Amino acid sequence: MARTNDPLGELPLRHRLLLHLLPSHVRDEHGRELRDDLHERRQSTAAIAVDILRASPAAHWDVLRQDLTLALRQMRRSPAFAIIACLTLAVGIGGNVAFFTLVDGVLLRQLPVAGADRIVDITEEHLGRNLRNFGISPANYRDVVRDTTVFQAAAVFNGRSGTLRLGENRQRVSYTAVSGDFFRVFTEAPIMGRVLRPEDDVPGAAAILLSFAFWQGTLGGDPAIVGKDIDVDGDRLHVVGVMPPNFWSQRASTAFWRPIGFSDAEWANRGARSVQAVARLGTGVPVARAAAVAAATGRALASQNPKTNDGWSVLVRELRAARVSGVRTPLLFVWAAGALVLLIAIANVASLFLTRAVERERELGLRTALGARTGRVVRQLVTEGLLLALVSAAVGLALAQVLLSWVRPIASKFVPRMDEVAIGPRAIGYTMALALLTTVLLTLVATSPARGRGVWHALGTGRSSTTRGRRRLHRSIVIGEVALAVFVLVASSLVVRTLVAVLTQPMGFDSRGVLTFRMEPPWRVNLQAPPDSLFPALMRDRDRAVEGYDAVLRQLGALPGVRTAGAVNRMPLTGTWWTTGVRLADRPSGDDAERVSTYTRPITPGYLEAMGTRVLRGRGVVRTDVTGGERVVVVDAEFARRAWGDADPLGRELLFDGAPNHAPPRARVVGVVESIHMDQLDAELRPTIYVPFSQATEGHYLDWGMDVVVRGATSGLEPEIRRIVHTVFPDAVVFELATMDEVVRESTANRRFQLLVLAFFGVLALVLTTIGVGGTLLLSVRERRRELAVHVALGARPSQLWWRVQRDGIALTAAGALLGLAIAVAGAGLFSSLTYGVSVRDPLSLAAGPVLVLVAAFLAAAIPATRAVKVSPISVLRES
Amino acid sequence: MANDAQSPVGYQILLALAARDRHGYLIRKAVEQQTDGTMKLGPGTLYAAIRRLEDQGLIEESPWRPDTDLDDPRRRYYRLTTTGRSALEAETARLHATVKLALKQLKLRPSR
Repeated sequence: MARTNDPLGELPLRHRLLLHLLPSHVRDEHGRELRDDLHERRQSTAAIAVDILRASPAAHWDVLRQDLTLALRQMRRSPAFAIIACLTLAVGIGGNVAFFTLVDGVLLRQLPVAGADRIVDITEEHLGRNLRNFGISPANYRDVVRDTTVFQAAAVFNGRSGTLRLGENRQRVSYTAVSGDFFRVFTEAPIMGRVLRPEDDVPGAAAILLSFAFWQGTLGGDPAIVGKDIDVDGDRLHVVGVMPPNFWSQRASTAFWRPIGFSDAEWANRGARSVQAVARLGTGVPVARAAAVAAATGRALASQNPKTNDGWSVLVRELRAARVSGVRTPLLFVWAAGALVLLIAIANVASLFLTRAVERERELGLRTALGARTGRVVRQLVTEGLLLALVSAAVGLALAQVLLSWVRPIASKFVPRMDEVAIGPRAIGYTMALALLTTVLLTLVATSPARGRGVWHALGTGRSSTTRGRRRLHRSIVIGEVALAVFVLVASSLVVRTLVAVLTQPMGFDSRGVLTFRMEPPWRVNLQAPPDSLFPALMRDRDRAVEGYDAVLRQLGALPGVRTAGAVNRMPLTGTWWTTGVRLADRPSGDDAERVSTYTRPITPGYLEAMGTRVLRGRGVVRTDVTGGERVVVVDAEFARRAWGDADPLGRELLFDGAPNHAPPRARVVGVVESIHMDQLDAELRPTIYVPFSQATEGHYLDWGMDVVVRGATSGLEPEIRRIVHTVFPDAVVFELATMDEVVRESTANRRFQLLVLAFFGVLALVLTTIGVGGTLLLSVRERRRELAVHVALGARPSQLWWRVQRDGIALTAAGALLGLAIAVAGAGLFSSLTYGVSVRDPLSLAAGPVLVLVAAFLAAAIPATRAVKVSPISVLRES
Repeated sequence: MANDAQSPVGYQILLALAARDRHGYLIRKAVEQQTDGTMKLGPGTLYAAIRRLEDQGLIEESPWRPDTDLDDPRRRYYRLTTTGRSALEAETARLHATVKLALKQLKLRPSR
């Protein structure tokens, strides 16, 4: 045919390029006429360009309308196909968008703070002891931020809590104590009054700056609040301003900001890493340079002050990165799992398209024969794919919204900034990108029979060489799909196994039937007192507290059902609290390198029993361990192992830090108890020591709050508990009341979230793959009807035919499963962040993926296999 | 249903084909003449419009050929279909009614 040599070939390139703006069928149909016309007119290129640019949009719109009409007609003709394809894609896209939104909101999007990219987090870490995100000591901080060209403004802060008194009501509030330049790092303007200034930050400072939520909620939005006083821990604090509602600070729940008011002595402290630090970088100073400067200072400090700084280094990170460092990998993993499932969904729909392409081969072939060029047919298929992808994307977006509303409350337990996570323009853009990607992949598959010479053959014969090519493509898609599904399933199984491992490992306590709450007597020591009298004052308060807690615990113990009650400064699974170093008295050198870094837990008699922590050797803390008596200590198995290896710890002595200029107090080890994962259940064990509260010099920071643990109590006892506490400490508040089981659940929220999400994707992958394998076999049975009919005619038994199809399915699935397994084994390193206590090549998890897929494929193959058995040789042979 | 008879370009092309079958170049010339040179169709506009009219079934390729010595045998001729003719007539009637109404409203007399 004449059409095959392009008549436009004789035109100058610029004209040909311009003509490409017209729909291909206009070019194809009228190529010769266009060429002649252009030849005759000898118009300027500009005039031609204007003409073509004017004509082409309408021409394209025409084609689009035609194709859309065709596509809609096609959908109406086989609604089941349309609905299945659309739902499959919508689920894939929805899952993906939901988790993209999560990743985007948490990891990618900048913090809602002016110039957030110039704000950095400064922290110290001790890699040798695996201490990260540890905060910084005030003296080290001052040395690190000395260079003001690098650190334009810097501040330290720490989170505290106190008792707010409003009339007769008392309530716990969390607040942030900040040093003078905090609001020069975070430069947001207040909505009322002023921010805190450096001159506010003096010992005994009374200025406070309120958060919007606290002002609106607790204080009732009093419009004249600025200038008034509020009572916190008995101090009269003077309100200087209110921050706007969207002001982002380090802690979401902060009620107000208050000057940290360090004395010179506190600023000079180099050993206690008790504060966190932030800084605003100078203009044009990259984070990397600030990090290098800080690291150099850190090294210098370590060599100048080996006693406090040996092994410690200084880390400077962009605030955003610092905030989310813990959740980065799990979130990315979840997102990647979503992407894989989307690929499976696309593969599935692509294979559906292929199935239908067979049926449509004749239709498309006919159209081609009637004069439609391949390009035109392809374009129509693209439009069909695009329509499907767009509808699916819209449904997917709605699904994502639902999914997010489910995920948000679960994830907010461990993911910071979860409240900011919502579907916005970026998520919609991402959805559109996914829809386009889907369209491209679908079209590539769907048009594979239309491309090349396949269509010509389709008319003449039912079978052709392209049928074989298409079948090969179809099978590769299914194998790929199975491989992806196996990979996702292996990841899901690993997460399940990890959660089981975390929950079934020895916890070191028994969480069943235990109620806990925290209480704090409202006293604070006067920090303005001369240092000589400060320590005795602290000890006097401790003795009052010991008596008070004793009374409270006795009364709690007498409540119905209660077996034991005890108290500890900070109970397990509530985060990192109070780490110190103690020295071993039996080591000759008094060197600091010999210090064992340990959690110090002052406890009352009865605490270990109430927790269900078993005493392995010796004894626990008892009533006869009193103030002024022999100082004793109970160590956990981990401490004993690290300090003395296999040797008997009982009777050995530890040296504590004591009051300044006094000999360090010694304490005798009287017992060994089982170890507890203190920070969270899936963190490594850290050495821990328990000291009698009555003898404790450490473990409390200016307050005498304790976590009370009551074995045998239920939350129904709450009113009784409050009454008892108030009879002993009239001004104390009771808060954070929860069962120990709830605390454990909270601690594993991260793992549970991963489990939920990956299980969701795992099941989805399995379902999609089942549909994919089943659909492929169904098609193959349909295509081989003639062959099967001949077999039946030749006397093949139904069971033979049945197994023939099954064998086909199993072969396909096994090939995919092997591939997936190979990927999972090769990429096992990727799983390391997901697992705890389970090998990344855990055989059970590796087996689970292939087995699940094979079983699913076997079930899926039942339908086509049954259909194969039912092939009637007469009707099939008559057809041909 | 809207069709291209209602677009200015489509209407003029149909009109050009009402008298006799023409090929693309002749359509262009005729349209230019009909509109006193105010409508000059560029090649893109012309063939996109022809394509559209043909897709809508208003015109079709004509099997008729003038004497070979008169014209290039390779050119494609177009003619109105029955649908095309009725669409042209319907649109003409509509335009006529519109013009009549406009003349009355504006109190003008038809120019000769």
